[in-house]
Amino acid sequence: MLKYLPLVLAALARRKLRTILTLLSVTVAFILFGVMMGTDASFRRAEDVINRKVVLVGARFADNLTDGMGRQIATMPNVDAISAGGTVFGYYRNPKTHAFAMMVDMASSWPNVPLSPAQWAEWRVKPDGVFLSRLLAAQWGLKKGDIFTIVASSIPRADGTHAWHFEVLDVLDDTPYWPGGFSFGSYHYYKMSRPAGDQAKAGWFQAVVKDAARADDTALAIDTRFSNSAIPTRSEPELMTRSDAATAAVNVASVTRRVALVGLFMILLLTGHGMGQSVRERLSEFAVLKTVGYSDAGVIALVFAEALAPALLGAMIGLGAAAMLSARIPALLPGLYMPEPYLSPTVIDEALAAAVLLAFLSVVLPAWKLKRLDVAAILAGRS
Amino acid sequence: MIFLRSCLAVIWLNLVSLKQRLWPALVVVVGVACVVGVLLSMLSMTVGLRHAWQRAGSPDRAIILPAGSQAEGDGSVSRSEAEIINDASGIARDAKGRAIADSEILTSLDARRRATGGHGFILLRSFGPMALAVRPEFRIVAGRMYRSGKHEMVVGAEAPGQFLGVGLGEKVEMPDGPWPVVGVFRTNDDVVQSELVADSDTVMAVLRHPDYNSVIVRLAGPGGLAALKRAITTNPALSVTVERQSDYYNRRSAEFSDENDALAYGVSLLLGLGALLAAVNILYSAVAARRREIAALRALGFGAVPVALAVAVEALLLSLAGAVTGATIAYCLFNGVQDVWYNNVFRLTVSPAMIALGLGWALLIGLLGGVLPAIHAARLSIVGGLRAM
Repeated sequence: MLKYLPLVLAALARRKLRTILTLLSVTVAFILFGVMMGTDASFRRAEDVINRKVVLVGARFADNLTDGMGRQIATMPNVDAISAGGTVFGYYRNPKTHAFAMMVDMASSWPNVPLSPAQWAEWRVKPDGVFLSRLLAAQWGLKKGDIFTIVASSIPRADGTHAWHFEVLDVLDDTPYWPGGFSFGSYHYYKMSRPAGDQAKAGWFQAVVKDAARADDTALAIDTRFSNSAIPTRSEPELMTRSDAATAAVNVASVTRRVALVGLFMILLLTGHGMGQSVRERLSEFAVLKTVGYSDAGVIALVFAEALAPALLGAMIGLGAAAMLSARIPALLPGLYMPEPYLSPTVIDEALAAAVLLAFLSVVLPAWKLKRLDVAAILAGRS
Repeated sequence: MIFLRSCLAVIWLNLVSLKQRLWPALVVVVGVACVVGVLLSMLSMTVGLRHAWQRAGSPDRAIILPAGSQAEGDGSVSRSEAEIINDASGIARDAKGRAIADSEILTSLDARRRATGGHGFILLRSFGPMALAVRPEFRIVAGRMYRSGKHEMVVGAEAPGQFLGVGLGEKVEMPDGPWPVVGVFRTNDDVVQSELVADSDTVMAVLRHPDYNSVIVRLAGPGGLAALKRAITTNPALSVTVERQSDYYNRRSAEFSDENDALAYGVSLLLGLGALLAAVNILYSAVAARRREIAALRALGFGAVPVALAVAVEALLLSLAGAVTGATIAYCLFNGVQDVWYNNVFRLTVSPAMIALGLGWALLIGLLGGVLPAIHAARLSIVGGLRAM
């Protein structure tokens, strides 16, 4: 196999400009492919890692839940633990910069909150602390020790203001569970800062069920239990909430996949055409190769290798560039809450497979032509 | 004159010979069509959504929000504050001297998405007695208007296309039981058309919502806004902000559409770069394939400039054809198609301005793609070309 390598390289080196242009356009296509499919993979990974045991309970109408409801839910069958939470949302510094903190109750269990026991314990000393993921800290321009004030016009505080002050306790690594980043504060602080009348109210509950397979039924049972109460609930496994959220804006997955495919299709046309052209121009060379004893398969393999080399190289360079670009995307488009594209092994495999397919499809027609080559006619210059 | 004629002759010759280069030409056309098609399809979302938002705002109206609140539905305006606002100067008044002002609440209700069956939400807006005077564009197109005091509502014409259970004759779950939808309304083909509307006092009682979220007023003449601002900001009893309604909707739409636009431009730039490289590659091949022809032309006395020009014109025409194809496909596939962004139902829009942008972008690709091959064509060695014969 290796002995053909010099032949392939020589063919590619002979038309340097064409090889470079092909390589560049394949690279561009795979930058796009990497970023788009990576974004898609990032969403899918988030769905894969979701804890199937988590059920979120919120108020069906614009009310707050009461602490008493939490105690009732805790006694229901299949419910293992219940935790109260709230969300402080508003803006930070600039009204255009949306900001939030999920307020979690340190007294209960949170399988989806990536904090160590020591970090949980920090809230005992500094109840107004928040833990931010790198992604959000970068978006909001915050670092450890900074004061982070969220102006939350719909969440009044006991002192009548709407400015929620936090201290950034630490900036933590992002986790796949929270593709858009996380921001956690203490529920205790949230509760105690609200007006007296609101202190027995929770924004939402998170129930952890014993049997994940029955999470849907448990959600339904909770809603049924409160359907005739003053505060009807709306419960759903976290998994469902995430998939609803992913399609709520625009069906991101379908858009990104479509763009990646259009890009690939375009490059396929180009390389396919380029290969056809280069084979047509060198028919006499191939005729010579056949005359000296190369088999049909051998010649076709040679052409395929010529197409494969720039396709694979371009795919690899493109993916590398996409990986570098990916880290910057959330910061470039903070308002879209785009997760950092995740170049998963699947995405890389798909990209390499696409590169091979690209090379294969682009040599189908030229190969057909080569197989039916009339060697004598070409050598005689009659074609 | 002779120069011009020789240019035209070479360009003509070039275009006539396109038939023999049909496939490479088509590759350029399809490549550029992909670039323009993707750009327009991505932009059609932001443009459609932005239009739907902007059409909801009128320069004749002002919106009064609680201080610190950035959006309608956020924060509260008490009944007594609303009364004080109604008395402020700068607000238009009807024949009986009543302020043309409406205090509203805007709340979200759970609604199933038609496309996915998943949970989404729809907005319920409440109207007071003066709402129709504030919003003359509001009209019932099917069924009837809700009656005040009754537990019933009307739905915007666009909402049932995206949400289940909100159509005429269906019932929407409220805290005290299901409310029938008794009518369908249209406004100015704006975002309000994807909302539900019911009577303020009834909604507030049922939702136990003691305060309003915003006050919308019709301004009295050109100086209305300034007078209203003065009256409201100097009154210590009020803690609210006032903004021209059209400015409000422009501001709100910019929040999401600017970055969506940036994403569309970024993707299109990358795709465009790919198409550009493709065009350069193919035009180079085209020039190489016609070395003899070009050498013959030059030997006959045609100058280098007409030869270069012909290559550039070919590149421009091919990318123009691609742009027209891409724009036509994007227009046919997307223009007017209903889509949804959270609760906002809107129509995808491929506007003439966007098509012009697509054409401009394609011409730039053609121009840049044609330059190098054109120069290459002009500098081909005549002797070398003729010898290849």
